[in-house]
Amino acid sequence: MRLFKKEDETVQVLCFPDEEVEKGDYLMIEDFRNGKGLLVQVVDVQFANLPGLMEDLLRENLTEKTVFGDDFDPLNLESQITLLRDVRILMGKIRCSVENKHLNLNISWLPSRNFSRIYKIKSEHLTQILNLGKKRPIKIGKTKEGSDFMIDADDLDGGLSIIVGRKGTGKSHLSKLLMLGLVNHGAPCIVFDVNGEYVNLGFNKNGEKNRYYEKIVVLEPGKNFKVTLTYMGKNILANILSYILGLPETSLREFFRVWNEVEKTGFITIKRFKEYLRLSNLHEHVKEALLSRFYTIERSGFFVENNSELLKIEDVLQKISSGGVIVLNLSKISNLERKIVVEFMLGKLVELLRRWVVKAVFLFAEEAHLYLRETYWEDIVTRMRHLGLFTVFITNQPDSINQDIYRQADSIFLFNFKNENDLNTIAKVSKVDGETMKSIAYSLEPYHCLVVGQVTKEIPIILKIEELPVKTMGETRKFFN
Amino acid sequence: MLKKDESFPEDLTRLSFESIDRLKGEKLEVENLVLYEENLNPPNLDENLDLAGFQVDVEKDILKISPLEEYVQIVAVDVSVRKIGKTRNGVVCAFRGTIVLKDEYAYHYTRYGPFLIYIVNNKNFSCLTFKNENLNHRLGKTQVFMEKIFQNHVFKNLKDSIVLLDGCLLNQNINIKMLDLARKNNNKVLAFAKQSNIYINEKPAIHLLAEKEPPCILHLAKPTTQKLTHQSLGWIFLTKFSHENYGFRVDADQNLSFDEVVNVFRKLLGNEIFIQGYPETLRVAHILSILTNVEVLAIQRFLSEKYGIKILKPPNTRRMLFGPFGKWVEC
Repeated sequence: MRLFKKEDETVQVLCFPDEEVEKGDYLMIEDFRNGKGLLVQVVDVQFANLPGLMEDLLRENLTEKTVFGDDFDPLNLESQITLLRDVRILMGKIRCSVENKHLNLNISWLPSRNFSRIYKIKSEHLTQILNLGKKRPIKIGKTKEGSDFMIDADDLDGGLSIIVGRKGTGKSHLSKLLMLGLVNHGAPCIVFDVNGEYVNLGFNKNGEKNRYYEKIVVLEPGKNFKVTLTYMGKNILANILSYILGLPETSLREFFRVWNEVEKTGFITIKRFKEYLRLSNLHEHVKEALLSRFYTIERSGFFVENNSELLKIEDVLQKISSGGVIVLNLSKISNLERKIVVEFMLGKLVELLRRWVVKAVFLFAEEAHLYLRETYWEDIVTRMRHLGLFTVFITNQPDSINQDIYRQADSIFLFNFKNENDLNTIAKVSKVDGETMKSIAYSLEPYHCLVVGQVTKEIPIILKIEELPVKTMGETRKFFN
Repeated sequence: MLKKDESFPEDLTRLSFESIDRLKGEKLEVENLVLYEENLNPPNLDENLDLAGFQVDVEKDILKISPLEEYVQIVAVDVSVRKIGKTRNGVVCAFRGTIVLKDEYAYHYTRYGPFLIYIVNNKNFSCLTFKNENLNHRLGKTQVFMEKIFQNHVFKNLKDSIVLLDGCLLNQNINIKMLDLARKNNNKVLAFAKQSNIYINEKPAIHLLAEKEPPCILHLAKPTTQKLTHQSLGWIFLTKFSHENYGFRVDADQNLSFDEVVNVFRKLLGNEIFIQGYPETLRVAHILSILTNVEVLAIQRFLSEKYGIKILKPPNTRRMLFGPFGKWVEC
């Protein structure tokens, strides 16, 4: 391989066909005069545009179709020509500089064309240089050469992560790996499970209980997960009424007054609320607005009137305090109920975190646009993050996630995308240049992902996702199979 | 079909390998190697002839011809040359020859080469000697030598064909002995000149046919200048076989009678496809024999790998002196 060009952070390397290099691979351009090296990731592989190649190919086409014959080639030049036709240009992005086996971000120097050695770096070597997965390792996959790829649980801590890719590429698989990896290190996790695919995490593929069985708590709203209005609190209920059920502001003001009045009676239930509203002298429109919302709340089945059926989140969190997952199964409830449950859950988590009842929680949100209200996006990346709610978004629709989330994400796990609009959306991720994202995402195989961000020390790496030993239930149901 | 000749092109192969052996230990400079055909030819090979005072009455002399639908095999021969690099003492060139046969159904080609020849200032080959010519003229002479080998091979091993050559039938390009061999095998030789310009009273002669309806030929009556008769081995015609161009100079074997030549042209029209007035078989021969830039690169790589010859890119003085104004293109 020979260094051909450098423009800004892009280098072009001339590569002969016998040198196996693919998109995503890393090259070291080592200038042996000063002992420094540039770590370059190949983001595209193109044919070298050799002068005269077009006429050569056109002529070949002529002799294939209309003109037939033989060649007497005493020098056997055909083999050389075949080789030259396949000479490639590797388009690479400079990621960092390596000096005395230490990484640094000084990439302002230019290696020599004449005194540089260019060689491919094995992923195993790269992870060693990057010092990945040393403290609290989570094994999430294998590198191209087949060695284990670990990240540090610490690098997910306090951060915001995104798992994004087309359906069927392995996103849920990865989120489960991350989740169980965090559990192994004693972290509490909550997952908003819209498809009911996390509920069997406590079982092996053959249906037997696995080592996580005791650490997985499946909550089904309306069944084993019900709350009282008192437990929910005035503010969370107000948010539900306002953001989910669309209660107008005038009525919301009356709600606060009614809440205070009902509270004086000692215990707040939906029944008491309704009675109070019926007897009150509120404006008919306000009364109707509030009553209709309370009927909806009542019908959701998520609310109970007495404490005997109440499930307190802090109790569940206590149960998984040494590591575990609360699976909030949202697959069997309606869209509106889903939004009510999520609103409650997030409100309660914030409250518990603020009161230091729980230190921190990792939240896994699948297809969050289905249940997360618009104003929460900003909240998640700012307020909630500082309180200790560390979110992992999982989606197959990149444009469903707020742009700010992409800009502020600490780590991205990117799976395959083919659609130009999707590629343009993910190109806005600030962790790495758009060209890399688009070029690599387009050619990723299923169950392969590009990881970049805090978890990889900002160096984009491609890996194959590890197979899970647990029952995943993530596959799409099929009629013929 | 072409008769099998086991000895062909063994001589060329041997010459080529002997020649490359001389290269061992040399350093090859590979830049500024644009090769112009004009530079290759020694002065007396110039095809530009000014027939001063030569009178042509186009309206009277032009001959409209019609295709003769009588099958005849068309054969074309072409040899290409490219400079590969230069050393302190000489120049390395690659030659490739192609013979294309057109029968009733398809085009069939046999392509020979590339043959690498190292032409050195003060050395001759056993089969080819030079006088005090400069390197370019030595190169031109070598090309003619190669062409003659291929032409001879065709004249000897083919019968009853129309043989199309590139260029002119001048005695530096072809000799009487070779034409005799062609005649012996009933081959009719025609030479199409791509860039040949005959000037009549300082005007290009081929423009005489600009407005004429093809297919037509114009015989430039027996040349009178001493220079031309001395050099030419053929009848000289201007031909226009399609609407798209002015015409070409075509030389025909002068041992044929005028009627025979016209008959050859008619048979050619009946058996050949003409695109822009140029015979397709000859065009295919040219396309197949030309050495592309990729092939030049491949040859340089071959020399470097197999013979350990060091490839150098000499400093470009134009670039150094004039920068972007030196017609230097960044690669």
